[in-house]
Amino acid sequence: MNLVRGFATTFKHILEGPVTVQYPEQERPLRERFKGKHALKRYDNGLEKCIGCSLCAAACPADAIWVEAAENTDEERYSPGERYAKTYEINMLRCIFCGYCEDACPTEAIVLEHEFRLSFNDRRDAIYTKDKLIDPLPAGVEGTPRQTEPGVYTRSIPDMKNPD
Amino acid sequence: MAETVTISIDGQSYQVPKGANLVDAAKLHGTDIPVFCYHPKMKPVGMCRMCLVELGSVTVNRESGKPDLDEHGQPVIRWQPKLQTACTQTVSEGMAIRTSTAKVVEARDDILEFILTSHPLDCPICDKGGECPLQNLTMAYGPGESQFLYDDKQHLAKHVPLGELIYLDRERCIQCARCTRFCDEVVGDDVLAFHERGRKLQIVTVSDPPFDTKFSGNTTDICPVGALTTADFRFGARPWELSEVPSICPHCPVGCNISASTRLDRDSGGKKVIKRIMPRQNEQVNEIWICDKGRFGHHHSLSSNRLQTPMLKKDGAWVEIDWKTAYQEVTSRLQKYGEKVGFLAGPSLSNEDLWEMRKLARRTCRDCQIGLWPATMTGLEAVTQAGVGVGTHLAALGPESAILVIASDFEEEAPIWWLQVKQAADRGAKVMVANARPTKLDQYAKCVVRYEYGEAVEVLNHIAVFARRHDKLNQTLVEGRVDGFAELEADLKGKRVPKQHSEAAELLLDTENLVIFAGNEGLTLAQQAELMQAAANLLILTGHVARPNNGLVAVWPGANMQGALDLGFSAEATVSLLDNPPSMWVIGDADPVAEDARAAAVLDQAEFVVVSTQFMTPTAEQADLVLPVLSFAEREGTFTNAMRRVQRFYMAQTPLEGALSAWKVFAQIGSALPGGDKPRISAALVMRDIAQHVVRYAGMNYTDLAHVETQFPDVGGHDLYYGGNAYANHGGLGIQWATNAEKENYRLTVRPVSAEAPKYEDLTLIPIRLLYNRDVLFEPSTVMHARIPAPYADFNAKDAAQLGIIDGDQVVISAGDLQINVSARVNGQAPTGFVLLPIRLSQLPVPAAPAMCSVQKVEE
Amino acid sequence: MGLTSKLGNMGVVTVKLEDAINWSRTRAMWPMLFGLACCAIEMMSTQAAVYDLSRFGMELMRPSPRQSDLMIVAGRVTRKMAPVLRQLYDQMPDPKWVISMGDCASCGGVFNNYAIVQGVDEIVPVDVYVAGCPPRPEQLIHGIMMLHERIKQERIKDWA
Repeated sequence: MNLVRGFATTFKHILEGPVTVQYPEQERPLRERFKGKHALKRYDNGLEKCIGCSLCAAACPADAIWVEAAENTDEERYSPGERYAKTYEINMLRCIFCGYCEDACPTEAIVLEHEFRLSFNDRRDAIYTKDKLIDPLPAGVEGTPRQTEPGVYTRSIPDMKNPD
Repeated sequence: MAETVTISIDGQSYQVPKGANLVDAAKLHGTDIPVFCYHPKMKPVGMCRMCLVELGSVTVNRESGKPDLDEHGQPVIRWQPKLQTACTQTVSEGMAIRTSTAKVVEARDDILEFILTSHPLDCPICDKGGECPLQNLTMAYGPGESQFLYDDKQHLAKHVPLGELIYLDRERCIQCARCTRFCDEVVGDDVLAFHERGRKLQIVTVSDPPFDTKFSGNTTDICPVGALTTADFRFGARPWELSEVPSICPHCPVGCNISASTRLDRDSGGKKVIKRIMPRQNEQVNEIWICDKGRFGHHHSLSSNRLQTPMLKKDGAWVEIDWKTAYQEVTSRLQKYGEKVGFLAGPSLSNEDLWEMRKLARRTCRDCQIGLWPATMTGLEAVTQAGVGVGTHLAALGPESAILVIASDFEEEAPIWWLQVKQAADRGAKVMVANARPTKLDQYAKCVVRYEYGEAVEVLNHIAVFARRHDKLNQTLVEGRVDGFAELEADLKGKRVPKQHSEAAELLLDTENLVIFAGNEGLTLAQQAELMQAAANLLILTGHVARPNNGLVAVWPGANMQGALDLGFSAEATVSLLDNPPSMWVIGDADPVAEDARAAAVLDQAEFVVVSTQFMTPTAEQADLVLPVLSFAEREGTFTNAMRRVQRFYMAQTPLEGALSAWKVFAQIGSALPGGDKPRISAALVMRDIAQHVVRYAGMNYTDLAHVETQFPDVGGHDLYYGGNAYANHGGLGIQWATNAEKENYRLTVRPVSAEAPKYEDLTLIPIRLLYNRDVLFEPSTVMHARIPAPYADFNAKDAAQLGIIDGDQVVISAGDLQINVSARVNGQAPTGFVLLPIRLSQLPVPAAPAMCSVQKVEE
Repeated sequence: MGLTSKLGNMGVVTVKLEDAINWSRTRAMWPMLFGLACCAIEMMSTQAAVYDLSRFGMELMRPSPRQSDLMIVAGRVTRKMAPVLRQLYDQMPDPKWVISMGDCASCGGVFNNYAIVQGVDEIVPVDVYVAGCPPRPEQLIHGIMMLHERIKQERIKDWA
């Protein structure tokens, strides 16, 4: 009897079409919360969100992130507030895409996006520098570094609200 | 711990040192009482109220005089109705505190809520974030949320320069007044102050130039929040990313213990580099302070001008060669010149370097001279006999002690000692300053003796005469162990003591302890030797030797002069080398050409000059072969400070490619000479050699030098509420070698000294030492450039009037063959007839000893 | 591929020899079964029905090194495993390729410690590194495609 039941399953599936996904021509949709390659975000005005605080590096369980900070000036401004990331590097081969950096970031500057095609012929290519990670500028906005009016961008976290 | 009292902390009885502060005493036994404004090195003020505890005392029965007992036989404690600040309490017998009751916990919570009303939430970008007392204590004791309206937070300026070295963030300041109190109490420089009241209260600098003190960096260490940051480190790295490497400051004879905070650095090609220098606690050396020179003067080791390959001069042009060829060049030359080789060691070579250099010299020929540069100070014999006792603790000197500072501008030459002597004076120690001109220490001195330049020795002689006449001699010591007393007595007999000197002598000799700091300002080498002997005579005769807090300290002009002297180098040898110049010179990390015109001329005549150096100094330029060596931060080694404490420094920074430790270079050269042995493979093994061959260093080794004991007060602990995580000493406290006076079986020798003062009739030039100069190790620290004055000379108003000079004029000073262009300052510093000329303010040599000079005004 | 038919429709195609060889190599690559840790699960999934590596001629995961020409190192390699890995690699016939699958194989990943080899390129030459912890099947396939591209660039004169 069990034999019959087993074969019944087999025959049921024989009639179904193939399940194979024809990757790379065809792709399965990714889940909303899929964690792929990182992106460094910008504000709408084009300033970088990253303030170089290194908290992502501290949170990273794999030590994949390297941040070096420097001081903003009104002549050469990268981000609001006083501090920006002079160097921001992620080693994609170290990164385990856990998203802790995203959680640690106080300015929501680093976000894991959906790009997953990360294969390299050379280990050195796996180190993504800031210019590879940062989002393109919104249309019609001046890039960074830029000159700004003194006294405008004094807060590191511009729209900070009471953390309820 | 001499006397103790019993206090009860949370129902548990503890023995604590009498007179200790309650916070320190509790911490000693592992009970943390959180603080913001209190700092163990400063007087308590009770401003922040964070240290609130329940305080009680034993009730005493008036009739019996005994404590009341309850039914269990325990003493009855009367608790005060309100909470008290622990930091303003001194422990007393029977004192009881409760630190963790609901009342206390609630109070702390409320205080933190108040402190945080306007504190910005910018910990992510704050340099203190990660080692911040406010952050730590809020996490430990604070409220999870605030009842205050978030939008009511004050927004204040975040980038206020207090001078070019320190920046203030007004929002972050919690008004604990540690920085202002540090400047007032510890340093005595009135440069920071509170301005306005209440919510508007802010820190301002009240000096011109702003924040004008040599210790400004310490305020950033003790700041319990990130309100004060240094221009040098600002946003350099997060504290948790730094690894602390114990090191020793290479700039002055104090030998401050420092922590080099290091991190990998992209700009330096992925090398491990020093991001900041922090003080490392060593209560017997620098406590927890360092001067700004030590803090910001480390950049030389990352300079792009460092030499990376050995270079040989061929037909006047430099040719890069490899190390092997370089060794061969030197060995063949050493064998060629044999007897006619002179060796010269600089002031900041480590003991290991010096030892290998000495070994090389001995191997070259039996009596090669091994000189020391700068050749301005001597007196090893005096220090060996009467140096300060092992265990001397300047930070503990009080009314029972006297300190004499002679012929030295202490603040410029040894800032941390200045700081400690100044604080000792505040505690009641009798400080006496003897110098020919006013110095900054004068205002804290009980007694100031002014002499004419050259008469320094006489002052000490007079004090000795006074001691003999007033029966202040230590007869047991003198009769039992001292040689040459009869001659000295004969010499001292019948000398007249001027009233000023006898007053000073009375003051000094009336105390239990006496420390003498001797410098060389306005003295020739010979006079300085006499000064050291005179100081040793005085100390031995009066028995101020062989005990802690007693004895002689020489204010050497370099970080490891003491070590060099200990290992056989001497200024006398340098003089004899200059008098009878050898054909070949081997110079280690010294720059005589830039400092002395005579040495420059002599080296110019030499046939072959080898220089080991970090930079292309004027001396190196004039040499025939330069050998690149590593800086203090890139290798291991030991320095001996002027209190004879041998201290270890460790490798902090990735070594510069191509350069080698100086000791390795000398050892390699030596190994190729006949009779040469294999070079040692590590600095530790060189130290073992030193310990075997040099009596003073007998028994020392790297393990013992790295030994650390718990220090009181504990500022480097896990709680971090004194700020900074680099205070903790993991590198060793160092070992002081004992003087002959401390060794029972050694006899001491005194001898008459000649106090003959040269009569300076014409205008005389006196070279003086400044802290901030253009020394080759300090110049690359560009952050300090604003503090280095342009070359100047101090004139007396009378002389200036005679010469027709006014303040700010450009003048040419001619001394011998030298023509020195400087701007004139007429501000009453210089005594009449003397011109004070700071050395090393330019790359051009100035006289190293007092010299006749003439002055010409440069017409515009 | 560079298939050319210069002589018209004669039922004959001409192709450069090296292109033909490279084509045949890419279309019948037999990976060695070298699952070491979690990545192996994804590797199995890649081989299974949904992603079906057979589409690329990778019919079989060979347990035997002598019959395979691609080693997919899937998982962290411990120091103890390293000599085994090297031996298996040496037993594979030329030409052979290595894909380092996932972070741990590529550089040690989170396991930055003494027990784990910090990247298999310490022991065997790696052609393609695939990031991910573990990489999803698409990522591995992407890596394999990348390897194919790389093989197609190979030239006879470089073989020797």
